[in-house]
Amino acid sequence: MTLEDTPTGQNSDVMVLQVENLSIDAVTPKGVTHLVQNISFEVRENEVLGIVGESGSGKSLTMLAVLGLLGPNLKIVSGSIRLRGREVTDLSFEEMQKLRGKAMSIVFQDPLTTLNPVLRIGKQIGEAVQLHNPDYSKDQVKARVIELLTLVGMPNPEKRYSQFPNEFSGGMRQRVVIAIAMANEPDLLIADEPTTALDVTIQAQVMNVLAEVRERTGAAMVLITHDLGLVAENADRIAVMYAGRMMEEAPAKEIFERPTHPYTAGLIASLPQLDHRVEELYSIPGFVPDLSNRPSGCVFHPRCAIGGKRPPCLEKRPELAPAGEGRRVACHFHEETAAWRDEQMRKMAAPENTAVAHDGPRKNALLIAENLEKTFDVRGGLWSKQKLHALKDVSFELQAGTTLGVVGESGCGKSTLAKVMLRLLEASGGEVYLNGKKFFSHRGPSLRRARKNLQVVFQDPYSSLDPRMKIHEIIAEPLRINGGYSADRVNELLAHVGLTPEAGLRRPPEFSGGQRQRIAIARALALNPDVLILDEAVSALDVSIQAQVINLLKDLQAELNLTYVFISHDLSVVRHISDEVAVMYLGRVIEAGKVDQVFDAPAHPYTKALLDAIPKPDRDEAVERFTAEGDLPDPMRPPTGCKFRTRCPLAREACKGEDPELIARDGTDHPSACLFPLTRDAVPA
Amino acid sequence: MARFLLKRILQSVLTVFGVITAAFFLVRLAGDPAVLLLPIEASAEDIERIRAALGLDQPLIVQYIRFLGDAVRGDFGDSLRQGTSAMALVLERVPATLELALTSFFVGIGLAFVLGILMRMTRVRWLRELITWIALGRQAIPLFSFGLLLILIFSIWLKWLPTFGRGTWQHLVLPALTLGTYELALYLRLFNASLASEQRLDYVRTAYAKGQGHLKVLLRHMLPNALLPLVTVAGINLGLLLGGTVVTETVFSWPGVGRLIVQSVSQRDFPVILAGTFLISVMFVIINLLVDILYGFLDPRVRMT
Repeated sequence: MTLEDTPTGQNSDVMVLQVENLSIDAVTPKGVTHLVQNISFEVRENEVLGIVGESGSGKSLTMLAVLGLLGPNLKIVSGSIRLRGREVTDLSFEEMQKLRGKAMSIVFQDPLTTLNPVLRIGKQIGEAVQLHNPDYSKDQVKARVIELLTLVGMPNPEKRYSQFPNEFSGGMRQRVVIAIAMANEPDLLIADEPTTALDVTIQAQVMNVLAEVRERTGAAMVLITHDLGLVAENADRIAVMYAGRMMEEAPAKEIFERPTHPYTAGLIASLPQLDHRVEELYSIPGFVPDLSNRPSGCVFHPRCAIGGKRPPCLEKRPELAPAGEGRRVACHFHEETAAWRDEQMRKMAAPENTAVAHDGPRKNALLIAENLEKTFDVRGGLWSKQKLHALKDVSFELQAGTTLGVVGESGCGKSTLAKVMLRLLEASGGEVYLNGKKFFSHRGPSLRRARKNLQVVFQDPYSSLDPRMKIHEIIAEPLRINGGYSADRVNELLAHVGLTPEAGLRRPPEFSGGQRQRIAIARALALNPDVLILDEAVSALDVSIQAQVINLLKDLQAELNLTYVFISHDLSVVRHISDEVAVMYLGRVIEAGKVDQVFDAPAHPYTKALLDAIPKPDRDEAVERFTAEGDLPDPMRPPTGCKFRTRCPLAREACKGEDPELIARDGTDHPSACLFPLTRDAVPA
Repeated sequence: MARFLLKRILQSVLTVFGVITAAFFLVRLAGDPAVLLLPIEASAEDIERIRAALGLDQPLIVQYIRFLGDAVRGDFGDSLRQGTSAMALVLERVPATLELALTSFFVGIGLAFVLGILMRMTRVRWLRELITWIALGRQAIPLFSFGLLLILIFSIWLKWLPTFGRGTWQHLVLPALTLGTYELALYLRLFNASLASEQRLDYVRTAYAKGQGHLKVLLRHMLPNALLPLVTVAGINLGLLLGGTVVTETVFSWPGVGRLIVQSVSQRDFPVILAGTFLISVMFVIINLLVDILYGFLDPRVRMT
């Protein structure tokens, strides 16, 4: 059974959840903020409704209200929520208790924190069974738990029953959470960003499990996510939320082709594409509004490319109204969206030759990594120490002004690579050449000077900026250390990243995530580096903000001839921003080459599995999906031979014996570490 | 687990060794006990003689090695003042210290536990705030002032309880209250903060989503997690209590180990100081060893590593 079998069109007419005109306010001493306004939607048996929105859109809040789990200062001020026709907004907490976990249940985002760390998982699942089946004996509860663990595809359920959450991988924990949610075969299953914290290959596995359990019970599902692709692939209908309001509702399969609301169209245009190169991403201007100070009229109008400042948009709040079959939209000018969208598509389609713009005569490489190694000593058994190979024989060359994308799942060594290159960790072997000079041989003061040329931007702009320092001082710090501080230089850097000098007088907590990441970039640029290492630098940002930062990075590269090492788990973003790409697995580069070569014709089965795991709205269901099975092997005890063979659908006997080298077996500049590389045309059987 | 225990026991032995070594050299800095033992008009020869008798004329390192050799056999020498075994003197005081320390400890942590849970369950907001402010206020009063205040109220005005000494349970009430309320305030505030931060975590939401009620979520899910920081602090604190609560013991003339050591320091009674230090450090490491084991029992994440 696979995901492609998700029933579309076989939805019954039995209504499971009806939300009508729901509004939620936050009541604080400072005043009342409207967090959710007049939301209406319905979900039927067997149906999957995807709710999409950026942070602050109110999507999770809406579903917490359905569960009756709103925080103490949040109030439902109007509207109704009916579960199988029964009004639940006026039920007491105790009455809701009988419904929660029985008639409806939820799968939360982060499986690392949704399970209680000090209770055995058997007990945690058993609790959900016991609560709604008080007459079950202990043995009956346990039998049901084992049955549930089997249902979610947990290997060794008997043994797993008595283990603690920390003994499970992220994907396995999420299976446990699903088992809890399915314990009493609820009518309504809410999945709140169920795969956001997981790697893409694990995401595919977990979505499969969700589809399977749902299909067995016919439960209705609400899938909350920021990922349009995930919804398009897994949902029947999609609802788009923005700033607490519903913008549009449409059949999920059509959302990419025919968005009706300008916001949806803008979001789609700001997504990097996996299967082709895009010249420049559209970015929705501005920021998500502060909800305590909503724009008048249409809440989206300050950022809208279509309505903009037209009078109706400024004055009148558009209501959600039918717009064709199965569609509703809240926009005064939605008929114009299609034309705008077509224009964007034309703009985005990149001329073929720009993709190879950097392919001139090969100059001397600016940045060379040569056989980088990093091993950690890990304490093993009673007195022994074991070696963990975090990086093994990693090499690449990079021309000035180009970008190397480094991709791989968590634990593949990509962040270790960044730290080793920055010499935040000492390499166990190998050398990095910067401008032809050995970077690793610098010591003391000469290392400090050399570091100017190699700067970094980290993932989380909330923890990478000191919250007590003023922005001006944050950017000035590297200048003060190395000399060359002037207020003008700081203001110039602020201008580079699109901020005004006034921003320098404020402190990080006053800025949004996207603005903070701009500040981090300005700080990294302060010393005029040749190379920027971008370690998941756009991963924590909302889609519309991510496009802004990506565009900024590309502009800065063109302007300052910067060289990027762009580390990311997001293959679409890597494809968009990189010239070259290196795919890593268990500390090794297993495939490398020009970005188009690797993405269009992946040679290593792992690369292919990564690409196939990414949700696509227009997946050809006849082509079987190439999947990586199971979890990442324990890096302390890697398999013999090829490291990927334990998860590879094409593994053969020969793969056990030989650890393949990273070479191009066809003589091109597209090497892969696979004995039986895939070819462009045929996937070997 | 066996390996972990072995390592921790070894560490504990080293800790005790380090403590008594430091104590040995530190007390030598306090001055020459011979001078204090003899009358002020004693001659230099008298002082020399008594130094030789006590072994104080030997080089420091020889004295140290001798001391270690004896200490390993549990012999810390005789008290310079009383002439009886120093260890026996200390051991004589241990029951009094244990009685006071354990009573205050269990009163404090027990009440903190009950009050903490009641505060979580009550919907009466002002009651919660009131308890928090009282706890904060109690912590702000130094032990000796609070002790004296209790004596003033319950012994002098009301004449319900004795002012000092040890013997009946009435003697224990005031010193135990002095220390116990201090402990209570500390644990209550810590417990509350710990529960409040657990409340925000996702697994609590998961428990509610299963259909669990408030009390069960608190007792089954939040409590085991919220206890973890409490256990650490309680371990350190119990160790401190056993080490002698000199102030309280002095205020109530409680015949505990702490007071004995302080008296011995002023009299430069080296053997008693060292015997007392040894005993306290042993109790301290044992308690912390127990805390570590308890911690591993409570938190599977620690058990694994």
